[in-house]
Amino acid sequence: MNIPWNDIIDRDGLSRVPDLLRVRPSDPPHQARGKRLLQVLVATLLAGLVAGGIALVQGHHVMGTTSEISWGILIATYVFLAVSSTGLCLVSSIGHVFGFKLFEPLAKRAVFLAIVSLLMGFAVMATELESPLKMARWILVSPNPRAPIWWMGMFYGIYVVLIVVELFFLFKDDHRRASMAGLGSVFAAVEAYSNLGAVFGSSHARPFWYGPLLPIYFIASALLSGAAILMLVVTLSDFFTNDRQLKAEHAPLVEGLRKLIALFLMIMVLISVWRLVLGISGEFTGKYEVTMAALTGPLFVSFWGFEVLLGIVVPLVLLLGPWRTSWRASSLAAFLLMISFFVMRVNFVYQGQMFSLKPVIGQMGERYSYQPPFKGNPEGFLAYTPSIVEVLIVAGAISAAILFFTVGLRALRLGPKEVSS
Amino acid sequence: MARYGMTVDQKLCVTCNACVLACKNENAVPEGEARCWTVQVEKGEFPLLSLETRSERCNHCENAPCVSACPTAASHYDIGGIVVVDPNKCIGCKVCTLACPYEVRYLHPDGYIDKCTFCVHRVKEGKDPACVTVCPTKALTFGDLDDPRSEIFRQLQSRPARVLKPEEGTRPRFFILP
Amino acid sequence: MSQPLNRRSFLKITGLAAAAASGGVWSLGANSAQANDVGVVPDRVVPTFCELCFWKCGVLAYVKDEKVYKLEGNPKHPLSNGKLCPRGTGGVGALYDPDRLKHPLIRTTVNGKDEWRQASWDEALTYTAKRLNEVKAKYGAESIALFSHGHGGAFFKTLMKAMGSSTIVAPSNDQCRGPRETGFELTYGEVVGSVENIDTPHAKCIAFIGSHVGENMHNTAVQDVSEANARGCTFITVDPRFSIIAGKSKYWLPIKPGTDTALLLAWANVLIDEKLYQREFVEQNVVGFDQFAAHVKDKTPEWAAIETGLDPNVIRETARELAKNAPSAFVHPGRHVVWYGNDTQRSRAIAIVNGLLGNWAKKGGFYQPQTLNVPGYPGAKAPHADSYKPRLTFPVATMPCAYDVAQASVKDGADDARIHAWMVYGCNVPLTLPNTEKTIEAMHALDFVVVVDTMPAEVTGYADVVLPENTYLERYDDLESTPFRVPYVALRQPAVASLYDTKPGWWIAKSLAEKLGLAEYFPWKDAEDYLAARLAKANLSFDQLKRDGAIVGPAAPIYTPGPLTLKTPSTKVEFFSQKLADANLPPMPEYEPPEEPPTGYFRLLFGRSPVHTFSRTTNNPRLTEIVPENELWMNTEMARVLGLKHGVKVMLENQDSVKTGPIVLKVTQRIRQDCVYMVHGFGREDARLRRGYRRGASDARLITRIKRDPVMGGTGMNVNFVTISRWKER
Ligand SMILES: Nc1nc2c(c(=O)[nH]1)N[C@H]1C(S)=C(S)[C@@H](COP(=O)(O)OP(=O)(O)OC[C@H]3O[C@@H](n4cnc5c(=O)[nH]c(N)nc54)[C@H](O)[C@@H]3O)O[C@H]1N2
Ligand SMILES: Nc1nc2c(c(=O)[nH]1)N[C@H]1C(S)=C(S)[C@@H](COP(=O)(O)OP(=O)(O)OC[C@H]3O[C@@H](n4cnc5c(=O)[nH]c(N)nc54)[C@H](O)[C@@H]3O)O[C@H]1N2
Ligand code: SF4
Ligand code: SF4
Ligand code: SF4
Ligand code: SF4
Ligand code: SF4
Ligand SMILES: [Mo]
Repeated sequence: MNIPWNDIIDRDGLSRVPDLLRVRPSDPPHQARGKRLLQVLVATLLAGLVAGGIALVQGHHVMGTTSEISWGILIATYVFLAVSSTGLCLVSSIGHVFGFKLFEPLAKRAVFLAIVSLLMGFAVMATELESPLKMARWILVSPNPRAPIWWMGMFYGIYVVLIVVELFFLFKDDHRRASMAGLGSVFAAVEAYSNLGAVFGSSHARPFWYGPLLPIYFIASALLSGAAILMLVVTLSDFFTNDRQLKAEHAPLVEGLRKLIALFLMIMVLISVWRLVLGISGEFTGKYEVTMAALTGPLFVSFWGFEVLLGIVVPLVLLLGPWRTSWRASSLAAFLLMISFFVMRVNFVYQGQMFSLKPVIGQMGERYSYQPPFKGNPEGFLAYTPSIVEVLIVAGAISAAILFFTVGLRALRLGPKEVSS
Repeated sequence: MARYGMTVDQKLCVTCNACVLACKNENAVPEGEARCWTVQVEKGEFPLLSLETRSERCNHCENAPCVSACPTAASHYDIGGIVVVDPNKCIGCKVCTLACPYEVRYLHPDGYIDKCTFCVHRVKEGKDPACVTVCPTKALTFGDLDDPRSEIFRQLQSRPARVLKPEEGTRPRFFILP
Repeated sequence: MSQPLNRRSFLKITGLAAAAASGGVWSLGANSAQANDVGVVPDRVVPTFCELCFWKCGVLAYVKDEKVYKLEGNPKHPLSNGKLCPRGTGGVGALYDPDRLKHPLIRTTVNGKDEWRQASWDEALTYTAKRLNEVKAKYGAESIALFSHGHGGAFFKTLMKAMGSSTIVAPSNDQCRGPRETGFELTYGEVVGSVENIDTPHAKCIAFIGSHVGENMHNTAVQDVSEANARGCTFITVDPRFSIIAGKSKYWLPIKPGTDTALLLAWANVLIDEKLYQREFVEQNVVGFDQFAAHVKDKTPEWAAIETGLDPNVIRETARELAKNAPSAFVHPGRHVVWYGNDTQRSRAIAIVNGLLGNWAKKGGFYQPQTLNVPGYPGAKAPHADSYKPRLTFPVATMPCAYDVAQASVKDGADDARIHAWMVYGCNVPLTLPNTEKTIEAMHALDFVVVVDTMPAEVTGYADVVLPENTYLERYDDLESTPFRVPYVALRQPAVASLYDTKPGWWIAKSLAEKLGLAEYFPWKDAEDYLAARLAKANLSFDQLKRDGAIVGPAAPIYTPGPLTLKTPSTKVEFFSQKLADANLPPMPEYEPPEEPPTGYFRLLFGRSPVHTFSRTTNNPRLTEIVPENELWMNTEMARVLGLKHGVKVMLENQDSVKTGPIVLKVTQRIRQDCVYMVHGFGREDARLRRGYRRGASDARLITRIKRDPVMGGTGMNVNFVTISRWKER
C-alpha cells in the first residue's frame, strides 16, 4: 500500500519539536509558560522511565501493593487512561461516525490522543505485571476465554489497531473508511471497556465491585472523561497559542462540550447515588463497610472532598452557574473533573480490596484472630500507600501522554491548521 | 479419577501452627508469606464461651473463580481437581487473587502467584501433604472424596461438615468438621 | 587478679562476629524449581532428636547440598510418631539463625572498659580451667555451681562431679516441676517424670489444673490428649483463662487464681462423702485415709465455692464425672507448678484425689514407665562429689535450688557468699530465675562465670568466657532413653558439619576435663567411640540406631493389677505423710488463701505459646515469623473500664515499681477480670538478638516477689501484681 507519509507527517513541524523545549528570551510569556510546562513534563517522563525500569527489574516489592491489596495506583492509572481513551473515541465518533458536525474538527486530535493514552495505559499496566514479557506469549498460546481480562486484552488489541486505522484514513481524508473503522473502534472500545468493567464487576468475591451497574457506570464515566479531556484540549491549546481568532472560532465547540459534560455529569451523579444507596442498604458485608469508609471513615476526605466537591459540586456550579459562558470556568471544571476522576479510580481500585475477606469481627460479634497475623488493622481495613516508584510511574505516564500529544500536534497534521503551524 | 479434598477437625486442632511451619519448610514459602494459617474464633461472653480452632488454606474449589479469571490458564486444575498455578505461565496480573473469595493467594518474589497446592508433588508420590503429616493432633485429613474406603469419605458421611462462604458457589473441597 | 573482673558489665556479644551470615533463612529451595512443586530430592535424611525443648522428639533432618531444608517427625521414634510440634518443625531456624554464637569469647578489660575478645578454643579452655582451679583452691569445689538444662548437660554434670562439686541446679526444678515431683514422691514414692507417666490415650475423663495442653506443646502429650479427645474423653479444665484445652472441655472452671487446693479438697470431700472413690484400691493401698477423710469433712463444695468463685454444683458434678470414669480418669499432675508457694501441697492434693480415683498403675490413669537400660562407658571412672553434701535448706528436697545458688552468690549481711563461680549450660538465667535484677547482681558478684550456649542470650553478657556449642543438628550427644510407655533408646547425630567455630558439648566437657587433669572421667576417644562402646554393651546396633534414630525395646506390662508395693516409707499411697509431719510440715494438704491484689492491680499470670520455648526460640527466624512477640490478655470489661482498646500498646508496672513493655494488648472475654496473662520468654534485651530484641515484654522482670515452697523450695511466681497503662511513644 502506498502510504502518503507526506500527508501525515509534517516534517517542518517535526524539526521544530526541539524548539518546543527551548525557552528563548524572545518568546512571548504564554509561550514561555507552555515551554516550561513541557520541560517539567520531560523531566517527569524521564523519572517515570527510570521508575518503570526499576519496577520491571525488581518486581512487586518496590511497590506499595501487598498480597492483600494486589492492585494499587498503577491499575487505577491504567483504568484512568483506558477510560480516557475510550471516552475520547466515543465522543469523537459522535462527530465523524454519527455525522454530528460540531465535533468533527476534533476528530483527528481525539483519536490521536485516544491512541496515546491507551498506549500509556498499556505501559503502566506492563510495569504492574510481574512478567509482562510472558504475557504476549501465554495470552495467545494458552488462552482462557472464560476470563474477562483475557477478552479485555483481546478487545483492546483490536481497538488499538482500529483506531490507528481510523486515524490513518482521517489523515487521508477518506471519511467513509474512517467512519467504518471508527464504528468498529467504537464497538471494540465498548466491548473492551465493558470487559474491563467486568474484570471488576464479575468479581463476586469483592462485593464493592460486584454488580450489574458497574459496566453502565464505566461507560458513563468514559463519556464524561472523554468530553472533559476534549474540553481541555481545546481550551488549553487556545490558552497556549493565545490566538483570539481561534478562540472565537472555538466558542461553539466549547459550548457544545460544556453541555455534553453537564449532561454526562448528571447521569453520573444518578448512577453514583444509586450505587451508594445499594452500598448502604442491605448492609451487605464488605460492600457496606467500604461504602461507610467513604462516607464517614478513612476515605472521608477523598470521597467528599475530591469525588463529591471537586468532582461534582464545583464542576456543576462552574458549568451551569452564572459563569457558564466563560471558557475559563468550563476548562477549570474539566480540569477538576479529571483530577477527581483520577482520585475516583484510585479509590475505586482500593475500595474493592480494603475490606479484608478474612473477617476480624463476625456478624454474631465473634472475634477472629489469625496467625500468622494478616495486615488488617483493628477496624478490619487493609492499608495501602503507593510507593515512590509507583507514584513516579504514574506521573511519568501522564506526563508522557500530554507530551506526546503536544509533540503530535506539531509533528502530525492534527487539528486546525493554525495550531500545527 | 480421584477427587481430592481435605478436612480440618475443629475439635482436635489446637491452632499450634505446626502445619504452617511444615508447609513453609516443604514448599520454601518466602518469608512474610504463608500457604496456610490458623484461626481462632472466640464466641460468647465470659464465662459462657466457645472457641473455634482450625487451620485454613486454599479450598481447591471445584468451581474455582481463580481458574476462570486467569487469562493465561496458569491457574488450572491438576490431578484430582487440585487447583495449582503454573509459574511459567503466570504473568502476575493478580486477577486470580482478586477473584478468590478467600484471600489465600500471595505474590511470590519470583514473580508469580503462589498458594497451597495440596502438596501435589507429595500426593503424586502417594504421600500426605506436609501439613497433614506433621499435625500432632491429627486434625487434618487428606484423601479422595469419592473413595468409600478413604478416611475423609467416612468422616464426611458421619459428621456434619461445612465449607467457607458457600454462598460464593465455589464448591470448596476443604471442609470444616465441627 | 580477679579484682577487675568480679564486677562485670553486661556485654553484648556478636559485635565481634559481625559478618553475620545473611541471606534469608528460607533461602534453600526458594527457587522456582521447588516452588513449582516438584519437591526437593534430599541428598540424605538424618534421624536425630530435637532440642527445641526438653521433650526430645525424634526428627528426620532432610539435607540437600549440605543444608538442612526441612525437619519431619521420625515415625520410628516413640515420642514423635512421625509428627512434630511447631517448634520442632521450625528447628532449622536454630541452625541458621544469623545471630548465633560463632567463636569462643573471652572478656578482657581495655582502657578500663570490658570488651569481648575472640579466642581460640585452646586459649578459652585453658583460661577457663585456670580460673576454675583458682576458685576451687580458694573456696573449695562446692563453691562452683553448674546450672544445666537440656540434653547436652549430662557431660557437664560428669565434669562437675569429677571436680568435686555437687552444686548442680536446674531451673526445671525449683522454677518448674520440683513441687510436683516432690508431692508425688511423698505420696507414691515415685516422680511423675518428664515424659509424665499419665495414660492419657486410654483415659475417659481428665481434669486439667491449669495445664494448658495445646499451648504447652509437648508433642507426645498433645498427641495423646488429641487421641483421647477423638475417642470422646471428657475434659474438665480449671483455669482462670479460657485456654485452648478449655475450649475443648465439657467443663471450664474459671477459678480464682491460687485457690485450686480448695477445689481439690472439695473434690475429695465429694468423692468420700458420696462414697464415689475406688473402695478396693483405697483399702488395699492407702495409708491415712481416715485421717484424710476427717481432714476434708468440712471442705464441702459450698465452702470451696466461696474461695474459688466457682458454682458448688459444678464442683460436685465434675467430681462425679471423674468418679464415674475412675480408674480410667485422672487429675493431670501439671508440670510448671511453682505458682503460689504452697505448690507441693497442691500437688499432694492432686496426688491424693488421684488416689481416691484409684488410678495408679491402672489403664487410663498413671502407668508404670519402662526404661531401656544402656550401661555406661566401660572403664570410665565414676564421678564422685567430695564428702560434701549439698547444703539444702528445704526439708524434703533432693536437689539444691537454682534460686538459692543465685542468692548464695552474693554476700548477704554477715554471711559471706558461698558460691564463687558458675558454669551455665543451656539456661538463660536472667530470664529464667525470678527477679532478673537479683540474678544480674549475683553474676556481677561472682569470681568467674563460664557459659556454654548457642545464642548470645542475655546470660552470655555476664560471662567471663563464652563457649559456643554446636546446635543439636551439628552434634552427637549422649544416648537418650527416657522412661516411657515403651522402653527405647534414641540417638542424636549431626545432620550437617559445624557451620562455625563451635563445638559439641561432649567435646567441650572432655577437653575441659583434660585441662583440669580429670581426663580419666572421659576416657573415650570421641562421641562415636563413647556411643559405640555403650551400645555394644547393651547389645544394640549402632548402625541401626544411626539409620533409624531410635530402637524400641521389648514392651513390659505398664499396669499393675491388685495391691501395689511402692517406694514410700510405708510402701503404700500416703494420704498422710509421716515424712512431712516429721519435718514439722502439714502432713495433709492444707488450703491457704492467696493474697488479694491491691485495688487497681491485676494478678500477673503467664504461660506458653505453642510456637515458642521460653527465650530459647524468641530469636529463631522461622518461629518469630509466626509469633513475633507476646500480647497481654485482659478481660473486655476491664479494658472498657480502663479505656484501653484491643491492639494498643501498654506498659506494665508491678507492686515494686518495676516496669516492662510496651506490649500489645489483647482484649478478650477469655480471661477473668482479676488477672492478666502473657507468654513467657519475650522482651529480649540484647540488641544482637535482632529478631527478639525488645519485642514484647518480659514477665521475668516483673517477678520481683516470690513465695517459697516450704517443702522443697520452689519459687512461687504467680504472686506479683501489676497495673496497666497506655504506652506513649515519644
Ligand atoms: N510450646 C511450649 N510448650 C511447652 C513449653 C514451652 O516453652 N513452649 N515448656 C514446657 C515446660 S518446661 C513446662 S514446665 C510446661 C508448662 O506448661 P503447663 O504446666 O501447662 O503451664 P503453666 O505455665 O504452669 O500454666 C499456665 C496455665 O495455667 C493457668 N493458671 C495460672 N494461674 C493459675 C491458677 O492459679 N490456677 C489454675 N488452675 N490455673 C492457673 C494459666 O492461665 C495458663 O493457662 O510446658 C511445656 N511445654
Ligand atoms: N518468668 C518465668 N520464668 C520461668 C518460667 C516462666 O514461665 N516464667 N518457666 C520456668 C520453667 S517451666 C522452666 S523449665 C525454666 C526453663 O529455663 P531455661 O532452661 O533457662 O530456658 P530457656 O530460656 O529456654 O534457656 C535456654 C538457653 O539454652 C540455650 N540453648 C538452646 N539450645 C542449646 C543447645 O543446644 N546447647 C546449649 N548449650 N544451649 C542451648 C538458649 O540459647 C538459652 O539461652 O524456666 C522457668 N522460668
Ligand atoms: S498442625 Fe494441626 S493442630 Fe496444629 S494448627 Fe495445624 S491443623 Fe491445627
Ligand atoms: S480458594 Fe481461592 S485460590 Fe483456592 S481454588 Fe478457591 S478460588 Fe481458587
Ligand atoms: S496472576 Fe498468574 S495465575 Fe493469577 S490470573 Fe494472572 S496469570 Fe493467572
Ligand atoms: S497441603 Fe501442602 S501446600 Fe497446602 S497448606 Fe498443606 S503443606 Fe501447605
Ligand atoms: S515437643 Fe516440640 S520442641 Fe519439644 S522436642 Fe518435641 S518437637 Fe522438639
Ligand atoms: Mo518447665
